[in-house]
Amino acid sequence: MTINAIETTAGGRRVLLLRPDVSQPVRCGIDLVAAAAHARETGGAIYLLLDGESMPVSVDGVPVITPHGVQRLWLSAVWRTASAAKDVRAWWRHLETSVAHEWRRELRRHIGDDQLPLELRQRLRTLAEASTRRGRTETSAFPRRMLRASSAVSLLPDFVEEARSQLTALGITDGRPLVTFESRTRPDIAAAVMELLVSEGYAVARIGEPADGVRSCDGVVDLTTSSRPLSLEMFLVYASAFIMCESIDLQQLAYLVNTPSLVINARDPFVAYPLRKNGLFALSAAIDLEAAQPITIGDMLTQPYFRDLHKQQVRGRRRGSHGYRDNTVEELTEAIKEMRAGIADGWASESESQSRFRQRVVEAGTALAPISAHVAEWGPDDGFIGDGRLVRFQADRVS
Amino acid sequence: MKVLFLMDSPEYLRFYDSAIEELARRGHEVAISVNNQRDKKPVGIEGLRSYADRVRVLGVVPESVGLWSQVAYRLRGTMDFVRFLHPTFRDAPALRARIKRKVLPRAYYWLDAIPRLNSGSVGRIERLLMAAERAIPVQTSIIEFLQAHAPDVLLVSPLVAAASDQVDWVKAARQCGIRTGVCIASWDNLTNKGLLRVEPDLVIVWNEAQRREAHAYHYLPIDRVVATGAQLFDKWFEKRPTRDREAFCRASGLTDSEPFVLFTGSSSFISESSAEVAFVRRWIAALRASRHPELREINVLVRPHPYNFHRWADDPVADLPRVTVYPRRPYNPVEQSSRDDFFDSLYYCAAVVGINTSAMIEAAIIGRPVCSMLTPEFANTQEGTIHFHHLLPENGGFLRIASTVEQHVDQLGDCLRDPAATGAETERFVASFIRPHGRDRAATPIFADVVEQLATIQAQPPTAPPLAPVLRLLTLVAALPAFAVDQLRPQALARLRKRIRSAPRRTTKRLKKAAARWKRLIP
Repeated sequence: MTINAIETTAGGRRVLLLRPDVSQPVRCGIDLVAAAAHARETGGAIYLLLDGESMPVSVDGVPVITPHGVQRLWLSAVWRTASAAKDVRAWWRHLETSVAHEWRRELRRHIGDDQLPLELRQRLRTLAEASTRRGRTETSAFPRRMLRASSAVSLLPDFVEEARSQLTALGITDGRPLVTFESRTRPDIAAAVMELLVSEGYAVARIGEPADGVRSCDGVVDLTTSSRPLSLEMFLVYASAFIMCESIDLQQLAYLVNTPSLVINARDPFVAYPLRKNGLFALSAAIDLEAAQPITIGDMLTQPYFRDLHKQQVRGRRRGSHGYRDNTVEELTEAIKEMRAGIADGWASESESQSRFRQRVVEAGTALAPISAHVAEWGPDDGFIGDGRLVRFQADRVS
Repeated sequence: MKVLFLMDSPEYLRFYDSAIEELARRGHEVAISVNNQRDKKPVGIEGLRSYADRVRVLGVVPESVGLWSQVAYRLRGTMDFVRFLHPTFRDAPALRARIKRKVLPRAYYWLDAIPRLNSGSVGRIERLLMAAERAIPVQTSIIEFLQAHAPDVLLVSPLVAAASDQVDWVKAARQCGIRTGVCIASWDNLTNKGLLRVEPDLVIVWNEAQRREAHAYHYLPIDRVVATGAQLFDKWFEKRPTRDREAFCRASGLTDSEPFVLFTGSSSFISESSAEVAFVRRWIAALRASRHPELREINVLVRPHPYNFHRWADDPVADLPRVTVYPRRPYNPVEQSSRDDFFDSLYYCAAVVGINTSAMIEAAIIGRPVCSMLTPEFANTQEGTIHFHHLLPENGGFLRIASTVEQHVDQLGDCLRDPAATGAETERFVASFIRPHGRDRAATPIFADVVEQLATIQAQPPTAPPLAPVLRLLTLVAALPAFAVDQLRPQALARLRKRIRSAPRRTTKRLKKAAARWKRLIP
């Protein structure tokens, strides 16, 4: 299992134990979808260990049980023991990795020593390589295959009713199809995109960070400044014709409620690659800061690019070798056009360049996974990256 | 001659594009690079590529890293704050608060308790801190970069950004024997931002007023500061509108092509968006109630500042007749269409009104009368800034400034009746502030001449302060509290402060409770 669930037996059958953290609805939503897929395959059930708030969802075809009394106590103990074992394993792995890392550094120092006999140096090289393999941290890969099929999770009718009335109070009515727009892009671009969506007949719900100068009238409801429960955000995505977002959390929330998603300003082709057919994504323009010119999308599938991204995102370096430019209004207009066409024709018309790009991502991911933990986590799952696509105008550029 | 032009970010290119092209046109080998690139800014580093056929584009230069870079950042932040203790800045609390918020290390927040110092003391402290700056070792990566490209002249702009790491570049260039010139990008840079902190071979400013500022507030010898004029405005002297008046009025949403007054918005630091909207509504109400018939009916065009659009996006003046906001949604100020819109707005308007913005200077170049009024809500960012005083008539400026709204309405009415009335003042201002070498002499060639002259002088050798190692050690020790305090999370500090503040109240409550218990026990 690569999801945050524990497999055990209860009442004589195999069950999956989940302890949803309601403060992270996306994470636990994804866990639930993946667990449902797994339970359906094995004919098992899902046991939810809820601490307080209940989840406003049901899973079709899989029994979801909330244990009580002695059974709950027993399953909680199983959960705690398994979690503690998992933590200890992770701690041990981390320790092992750092020792291996130091050992490898020491060996490398001697490999470069000309005064040592060649045979010994070659021997040391073999040892260093073995240590590299041993020292690789275990990554739990994003379960792409499990999440491939449309989610069997549906929102409970009571919750839907309540959320709908809350949205009406916020100014979102059923009159026009809704688009949820979340972006940290420049205000001028965001304003132009929302104006376009409104002119196409959509109502726009803007969420995310408040931005200077973005309209909150004429079909646009600005929800960036008001606080709202996360479950309402889930409903907002559920009620939308499609979502436009920059954050991966929101894309995953869209998987949960089967809403088409368009990810914009993506920096990482693996993380953002959509799982489902109804997903599109557009990459930011990555700029080589030393040469002051954009790199190609093909270059965004190479090891140096991911090494740099890792330095910035994980090690928190102030600056990497790449800068980024947001998608332009023209690019987003194209992407919206493609999204609308996809919804209208049932996502039948994938171009050759888009298929080729998918293949390229799979190949690059397969090659990079053994040397990059990040790609191992987010890259192809047994040769499957996703049924979604890169927006056509960018895919055409790659080929 | 090999020139390396290092700008803080790609946005500075618009100040120097003509100068860079002029230097390249004269056959010099020009390379351009920037210190920072911010992903969400309208101008990206890829913009530099449009010059690639004429100059070498070196992209983003190596950043300052390591312990000494951290020490230098805190030292520079302190220097930038100390300059605002100068008596000249006594009425500039907004500037002082901004620099404190931006760069003053929290361990030195106590400096803000000092109301002000006399100019001699500020000068002495700044010189001491400058000596500490000189004692900080130069970054090896920067020296290697300079040695690899080996320019004859290093031009840096603006250097005065808060706690700027461009200082490292000037120091490294001096160490490599490269001549250094600092280009002051705009009219407010020497009084609104930080200290120059190092002595370059030359500082290039717009005019005599800025020369005096560089000498008085940045402790530079006056002979090292040269006024060339404002090269970025050269284009404005030749520019023509891109469409006719009717077409512009139609595009901007004005009801007809009758004369209109243009209100130009200011940045969010000068006038927060909501306050600006309230001000504009009050101002328009005053126009409509004025005794001048031409003002009661005049069209008003509001042009919000590109980075201060927040409240304007909702068109908060939609209910007012003959008033239009244009552009109606956030715009990218560097796009050619936005620049054309801006020029056309100024060109076709009858007069300009604003709070404190560079657009007033652009209006003056085109010869439009410019009015403003002093209001309590913007006192800190009008009279509380030094650069605003350059616009005042008593300092050679062109601004019709009023202290009451009635006075302002009268002044505006006069300007509309006789647009030429302010002509002489405006001409005088342009001749002294924008083109000090003559109204007909473009500033760009003068700028290029000065850079060529710079290449002929002897580069200053690096001067280590006396007892440099001791000073270096002391600087490091002085930075330690700043490091320590910066590590403390603000939330933890806030909790502690709250507990300390509530300690007397909690103690009193406990004592009262104890007293009540004793009372119950002792009949």
